[in-house]
Amino acid sequence: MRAKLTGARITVSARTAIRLRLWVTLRWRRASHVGSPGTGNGARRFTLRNIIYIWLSLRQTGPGRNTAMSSSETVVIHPALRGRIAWIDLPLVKVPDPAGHGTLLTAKISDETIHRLYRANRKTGLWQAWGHLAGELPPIPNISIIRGTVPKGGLSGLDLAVACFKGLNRPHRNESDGQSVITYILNPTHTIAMHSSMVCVARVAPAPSNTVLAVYMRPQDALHPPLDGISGIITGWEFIPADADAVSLPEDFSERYGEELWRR
Amino acid sequence: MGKSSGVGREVNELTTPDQWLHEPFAANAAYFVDSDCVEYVNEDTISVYKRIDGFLTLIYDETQIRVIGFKLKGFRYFFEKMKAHLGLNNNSFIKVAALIEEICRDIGDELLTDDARQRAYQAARKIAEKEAVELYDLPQAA
Repeated sequence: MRAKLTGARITVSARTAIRLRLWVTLRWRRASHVGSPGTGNGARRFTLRNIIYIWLSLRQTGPGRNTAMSSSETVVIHPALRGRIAWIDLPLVKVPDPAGHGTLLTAKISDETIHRLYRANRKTGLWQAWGHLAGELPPIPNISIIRGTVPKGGLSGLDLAVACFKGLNRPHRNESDGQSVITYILNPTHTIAMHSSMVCVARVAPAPSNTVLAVYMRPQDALHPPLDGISGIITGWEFIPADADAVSLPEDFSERYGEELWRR
Repeated sequence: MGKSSGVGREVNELTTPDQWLHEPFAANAAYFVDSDCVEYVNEDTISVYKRIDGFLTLIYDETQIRVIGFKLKGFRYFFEKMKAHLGLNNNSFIKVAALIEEICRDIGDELLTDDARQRAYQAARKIAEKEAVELYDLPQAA
């Protein structure tokens, strides 16, 4: 595929033009079919910016495929969204050293996971990333309304992890037993969830009973290529049932993970 | 909950931030590359993930009674192994119910002797079938 950007015009090869037209047609039909919000019954704005975005998507994923977000290497974010959506722009976070030295390391929350949640409109997962991982309330309109409803320390935080495990005992990406994956266990008493409201679309709620929060991280040495200055990528977070006896730890923790690195 | 075809019901790339904030949730199956799992939930709420085995986790709402979705873990491995049998539609999407059936076949007799595990897979398959869950974000070749 060849394309040349000249001033306000893009010159593309004939083959690219056909692919572009096919892709736009497909997207247009989908939009018309579902009546995309804010686009006036499927009507699309063909600004230069949007055409560049479409071209970038084509270059990386090919026409007719809905895979613009299918790997962290091929994430294409519409330029109009960059810097405009504060709530998908999470900061780097501090995580306890898996080696148990008591130091805090820097980790990044996976862009791919965040953008998947965004694309799927799963606000609860995003708000929980802010509350439990970044240690802040999500920067959304009128969030100050719920600020007073968060008990001190109620959302916990990665620095307050109570245990750390390594290995998943199941396939994960190219590993047969997910041996590189680090799991931090947190004990928040509260969490944040989506709330249908015209004022503020987040609410603080008690954490589900008898659960712990598991946060998964791929450490630096498992990343290809490794990222400078980052000790790992946080790929997921979820509430899981607590163990009946050791209530601050996950159910079946002794069989569930490869090894226990530390607990507090 | 309506059908969940995935395409067109995801957030549009031209959706404005304000629209997104107030847009109602529409269920979609999604493949999370970095965590190598497929997740489907039919409700955007606080949820609890209950591990069934190394491949399936059922997702419950905060009451921990009602199943609202499922998570298929280590998905890339199974996808590569089974894609020849899945009948990829135009090489672009798969029906998740068919995928779960293939996984059950792969597990085989083990499932027949474990009632709880069998019921869990049935629950996941039932949701996938009833809500016509399709997956468009397929793993790319490594």
